[in-house]
Amino acid sequence: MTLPLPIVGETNPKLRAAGAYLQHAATEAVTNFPNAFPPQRTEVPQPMDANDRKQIMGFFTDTTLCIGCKACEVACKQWNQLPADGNNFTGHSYDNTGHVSATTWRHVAFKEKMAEETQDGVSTSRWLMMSDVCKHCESAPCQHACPTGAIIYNQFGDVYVQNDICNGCGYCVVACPFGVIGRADTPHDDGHAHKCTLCMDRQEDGLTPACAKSCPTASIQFGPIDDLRAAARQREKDLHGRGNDKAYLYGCDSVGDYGPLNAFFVLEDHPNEYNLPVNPPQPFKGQTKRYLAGLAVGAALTAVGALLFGDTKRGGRRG
Amino acid sequence: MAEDRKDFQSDAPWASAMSHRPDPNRVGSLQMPAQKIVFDRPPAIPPNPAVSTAAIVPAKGNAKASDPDLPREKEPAYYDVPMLKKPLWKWEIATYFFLGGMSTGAHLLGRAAARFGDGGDVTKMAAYLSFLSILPGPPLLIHDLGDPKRFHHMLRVWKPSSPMNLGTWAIMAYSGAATSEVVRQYLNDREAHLKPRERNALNKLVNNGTLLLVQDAVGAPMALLVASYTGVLLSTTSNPLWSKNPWLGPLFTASAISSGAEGIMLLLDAKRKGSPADPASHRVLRTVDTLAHGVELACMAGFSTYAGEKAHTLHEGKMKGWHRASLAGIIGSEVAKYAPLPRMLKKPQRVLSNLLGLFGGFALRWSMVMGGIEAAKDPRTTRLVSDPAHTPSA
Repeated sequence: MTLPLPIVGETNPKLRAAGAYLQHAATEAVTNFPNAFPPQRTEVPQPMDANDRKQIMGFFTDTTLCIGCKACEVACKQWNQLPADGNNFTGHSYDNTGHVSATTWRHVAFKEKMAEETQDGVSTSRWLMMSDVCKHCESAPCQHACPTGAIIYNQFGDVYVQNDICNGCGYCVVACPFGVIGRADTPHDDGHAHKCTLCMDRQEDGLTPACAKSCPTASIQFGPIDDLRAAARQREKDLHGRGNDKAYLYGCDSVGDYGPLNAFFVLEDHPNEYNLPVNPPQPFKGQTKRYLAGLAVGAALTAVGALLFGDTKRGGRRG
Repeated sequence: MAEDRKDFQSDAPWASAMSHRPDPNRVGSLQMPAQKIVFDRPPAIPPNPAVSTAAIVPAKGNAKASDPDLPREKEPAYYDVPMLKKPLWKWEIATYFFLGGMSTGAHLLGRAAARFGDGGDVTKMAAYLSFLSILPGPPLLIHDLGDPKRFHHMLRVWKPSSPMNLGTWAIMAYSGAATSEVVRQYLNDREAHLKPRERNALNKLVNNGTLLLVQDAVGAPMALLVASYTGVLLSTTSNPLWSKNPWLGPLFTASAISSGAEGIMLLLDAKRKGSPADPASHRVLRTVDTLAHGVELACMAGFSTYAGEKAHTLHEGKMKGWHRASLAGIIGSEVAKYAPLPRMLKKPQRVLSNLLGLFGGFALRWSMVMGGIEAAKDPRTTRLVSDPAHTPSA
C-alpha cells in the first residue's frame, strides 16, 4: 500500500524529495499503525541473578600463549556472519584490522618490540600478541548510556545488544572506555551498534564461543568467571615461577573505576602497548553531582532574573 | 554428558551427539595449569639493566600512561592507533544543543517575567522564541538517527540512568509546556479581535491560574533539565575532551540562559523602532545576560583546567578557531554591550552585542561537539583519558 504523493512536490525537485519522504513516512505509519512500535522480543533473556555467580560466563585471554594465528578473528566472523572490513594495509606488523569494531569482535594485536640490545648474545626483541575482545564490564557504561534499553545483561551475565531495539544513536560508542562497541555505518549495514555477544546463541546451546573453540593454544579460555579467575591467578603464579616476572593480570581484579572485568587478560607489558587503557574511567560515576551543578546554575540565574523582574514591577507601581 | 558440559543443560537435538568431544578451551576440563610443579619456585631472574623496564608497570597501582620523563615517541602506545572510537554526532547535534538551550533559556526568563514581573513583551517574545527554537529539535535528532521510528525507540523505556533517555523525556514534557505557552500567548494576542463572550471564555479557560501553575510546575524544572542534560550527556562518555568534566553541565546551562536572553532582546529590538518599549525589563535581560556570560567564562576556565592536556584540540588543535570564536563572542558581546557610544548608535550596539552573544553560544556548542571528534582522533589524548594523572577517578 502506498499513500498518494502530496501535490506540493510535483515541480520543484527538492520539494518533490521532501514530498516523497513524507509519503514514505505516512505510508509506514499507516500500514504499521497498530504495531508501529518496535517489535517485541518473543524470548526475553532472563535477567541475571546477581547472587548466582556460577551463571556468569567470561573469557580469560592469556597473551603469553597467543601465537597470532587470528583463528579467533576468523571463527568469530564466520560464526556471527560479520562482513569483511576491506583490504586495508596498515603497516602495523601483521595487524591490518587495527581495532575491535562493529564488524570485528575479536581483534589480534601484533606489537613488534625491537630492541637494539642483546642479552648474553641473544636479541631481546620480542613480539606481543593479544586477542582483544569486549570486556563485558559488570557495570558497563554502554549499558548505562543506552537510551532505548537495547543493551542488557543477558542470562550469562554478559553485555548484549538487542539489535531490533537499538536505534543507532551512537551514545554507547562514545561511552565505552575501551573503544570496543562500534556502529556499522557503511551503506550495506543496518546502522546499529554491534559488539561481541560472547556467542550468546552458542552458549544457549551449551557450546563454547567460537573464538575460544577455535583457539589452538588455549590462549582464549571460556568458562564460569570464578573458575577462570582461579585459573588465571594460578597461571600468573606459574609464569612468575618460571621467571616471567613481567606477566600480570589485567582486569582480573578491579581496574581503574571498574570492578573485575568479565573478559580479562594476562599481559606482559604496559597496557597501552596493547591499546588497553591503564585506568579506564567510569563516566557515570558522579553523574548526579554534574546534573545538580547544571540545574543549580540554571535555577540561580533564573532566580536572579525573577528577582530583578520583580523589582521592575514594584518600580512600575511606585512610578 | 562429558565432563566439560556438565554445567549446561542443552536441549539442542545434536547435543548428545557432540558430548563425546572434549573441549580443551573450557576451564574445568582443561584443569589449568596442567603441570604440577613440584620443585620450589626458582629465584626470580634479576632485571636486565640493558632492557629498559621503565615503561613496564605492574597491573595494580596508579600506573601512568604519560610519564613526563619519557619523550613523546617513547610513550607506551599501540602504533598510535586511537584507543577510543570517535563520536558519531555531527552538526545536527551541535545545532540542536544550541537551539534547545536558547529555547529553554527564553522559556525560563519569559515565565519569570510573567510570574514575578509585568510579563508583557518579554513574555510574548519568549513564548514565540522558545517554541520556534525547540521546534527543529526533534527533526534534527531524527535526522541524526536517520529514521523517525528510531526516535520513538527512546520513548519505549524510562531509563533515567541514561542522560539521552532522560533528556528525550524532558524534551517531550518541556515542549508540551512551550506549546501551551505559545498557544496561550497567541490567543491573548488576538484578544482584540474576539467577541466579548469569546474573551470571557479565553480568560476562563486559557488564562486559568491552575493551568498556568501546572504548566510552570512542569515547564520550569523540565526547561532546566533540557538546558543542563546536554552537558551532562557529553560528560558521561569516555571521550577525552568530555569525560567526567563537571563543568560541562553548568557551562551549557549558563550558555542556554544567556542565549535565551539575547534572543528575546533581539526580538524586542526587531519589533520596535528606536528604544525598547519597556526599558526596565530590557535592562533585567541585559543584567541576566551579563551574569550568565560571567558564569560561562568561569565554567570555561574550570573546563580547561579539568581537561588539561586532553583539551589539546581546543587550545592548539583543529578546534582552536571555534574555541576562540566562542570566547570572542562572549567577551565581544559584553564589550559591545557596555561600550559608551552616542545615543544614535544605541540600537545597532544592542543588536551587535546580542548577535555576538548568540554566535558565541553557537560556537561554544560547535567547538565542544566537534572538538570531541578531534580529541578522539588524537591517539595521545585517547590514552590520557585513562591516565589517573589526567582524569581523577572520583
